[in-house]
Amino acid sequence: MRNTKALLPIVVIHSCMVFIISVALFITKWFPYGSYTVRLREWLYRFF
Amino acid sequence: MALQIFLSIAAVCWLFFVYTGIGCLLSRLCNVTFSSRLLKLLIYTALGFCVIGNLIMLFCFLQCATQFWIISLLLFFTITGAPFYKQVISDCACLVNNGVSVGRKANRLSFLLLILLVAGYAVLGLLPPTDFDALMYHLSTVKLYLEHGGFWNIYYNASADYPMLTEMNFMIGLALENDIICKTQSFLLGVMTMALIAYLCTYLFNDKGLIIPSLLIFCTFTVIIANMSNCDVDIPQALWTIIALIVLEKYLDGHKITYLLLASIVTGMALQTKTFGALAIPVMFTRIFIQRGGPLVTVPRIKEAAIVVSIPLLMGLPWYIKSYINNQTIFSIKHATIIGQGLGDPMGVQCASQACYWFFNGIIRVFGAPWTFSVFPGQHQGDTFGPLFIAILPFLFLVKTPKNIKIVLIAMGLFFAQILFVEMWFIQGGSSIRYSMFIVICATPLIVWTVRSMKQYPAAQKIVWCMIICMICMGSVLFIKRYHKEWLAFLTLQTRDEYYSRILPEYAVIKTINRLPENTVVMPLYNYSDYLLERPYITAYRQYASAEEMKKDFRQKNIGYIFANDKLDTSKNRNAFPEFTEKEIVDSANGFYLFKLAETY
Repeated sequence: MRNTKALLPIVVIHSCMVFIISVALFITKWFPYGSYTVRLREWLYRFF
Repeated sequence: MALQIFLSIAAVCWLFFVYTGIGCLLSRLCNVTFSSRLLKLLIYTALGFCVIGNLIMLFCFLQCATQFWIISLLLFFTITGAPFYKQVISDCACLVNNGVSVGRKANRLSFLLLILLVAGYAVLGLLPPTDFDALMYHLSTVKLYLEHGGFWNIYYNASADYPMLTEMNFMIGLALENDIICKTQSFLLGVMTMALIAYLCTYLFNDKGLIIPSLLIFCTFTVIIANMSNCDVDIPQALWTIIALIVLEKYLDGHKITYLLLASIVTGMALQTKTFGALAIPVMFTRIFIQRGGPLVTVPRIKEAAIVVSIPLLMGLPWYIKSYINNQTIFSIKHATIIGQGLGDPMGVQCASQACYWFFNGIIRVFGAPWTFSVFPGQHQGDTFGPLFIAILPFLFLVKTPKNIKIVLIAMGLFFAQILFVEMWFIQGGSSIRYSMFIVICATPLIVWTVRSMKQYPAAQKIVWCMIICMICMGSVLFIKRYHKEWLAFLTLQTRDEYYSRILPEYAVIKTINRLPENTVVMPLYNYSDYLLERPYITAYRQYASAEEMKKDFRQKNIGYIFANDKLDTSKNRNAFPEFTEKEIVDSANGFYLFKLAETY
């Protein structure tokens, strides 16, 4: 049996982090409206 | 344009019957049967597509690819396949009924959204081609071949020697003088892919409840939004690869050798569709050896592997020969490789030492791949798989995975490994996400199955469902944003000219080019809009040692006009070809310029 109890929180946290970053990238790429979005996009694209 | 749209629907329905008729006939001759109506229709269509595409390719080699011969070929197969149309119609009617019953059982809102998305793609499939790659080579090279009556060395188009099975079928549309047919054919291939996903949901997971969410996810992936209903070949390549794997599974379940031959032929179709289709061969080869009882290497298995490798390679051979004659390479295009060229910039990192180079090109590329492909658009030509792959598939470690799903995972892993290998040696800046379409399509039902299997983790399951819903909603909004102009044009049924003027900023200048005297030779800077040019053209194709050499070459080719058409950076167009000091602007619009060269340059 796999030790799923230990794995679950790690996988959930990882998924949430990846999802939040992706949503931010998606919105700033396809809907770059407003100065905050543009600035966020510039900042994100430095890393991604 | 309304008449052309109507005729393209009729023509693609006709082609569907021609394809399925041929497929049905061949299946009867080889005594191959499938219990699933859906799979049967997919394989019939694939076989017909293969036969027609290869015969048109043969016409091109024999220099008889003319309107007359192509239409004669279609009429011949229309008559040959006629006895099977009744069966095809009854199969289609049954599938539609099944689809409706699946839709009724699903959530109404999600079913309605799916219908709207498919309708959106259908409308795109009924409009003239405007997509970048279609105008650049998928249609422009085929148009030149048809005008010439067969293959010739289009030396000024670097993409002219790719394998072109799909494009050979697009030639039918051009032969019928209606290029909307090519777009509708692409939509048909997209619908076939959706049908394949539905089949995977029932065949692999035995759960019809997966179909609607899987299709919604599929339709809202950014890579699908960009490519479905366009005259592109990535979706067909993945489609043939997956069908080949399914047929191979049937063979491994204890069917006759004809199933193995069929699987090999469909693999050959993937290879004939796109250079990356060759990646299907190692996947098929590996499947012969893994997950079967008994010793790993036996004589029958070696024979099976030899069939799976040799038939696709033989099918690809004409394209390799054509490429070798024109380019002196079988890889369709001369790629810059790291071999003998010093160190490149793997993943955009400038490396001064070998150690740094292999750290990024090897270790980081391989171990970071799941993340770079999912959340790093800068690494993959501006696109990603999206978060659902990397956010949801790790939950597979927490659920029990049956044997058939493990086989899919191995196939996906092997394909992915090959993509990474290609990146390492050929595309160090990162491959486009559409090259990994096979993984996108296989992963779609797998994502939904994973979430539905997480019943023992209800809280995590809720979070993940929310992610899926969020991505579907965002993808739908993006779909509307990207294509609302096209849908509006469809609803107002403008003329082709008005449509192009609205969608393509360079079209005003193209219209001027098409009004020039008949024998005027134009040089576009890039291949970007070649398909729309009605005058002879030679796209800028080489670099010159000096301005004099350039002018001499221009004079030899009788080039009188320059079309400055850099779409990616229009600011450069105004100063195109500074070597020619005496040139006048004939027309300009939206940053695109048409220059007339002085009589004595």
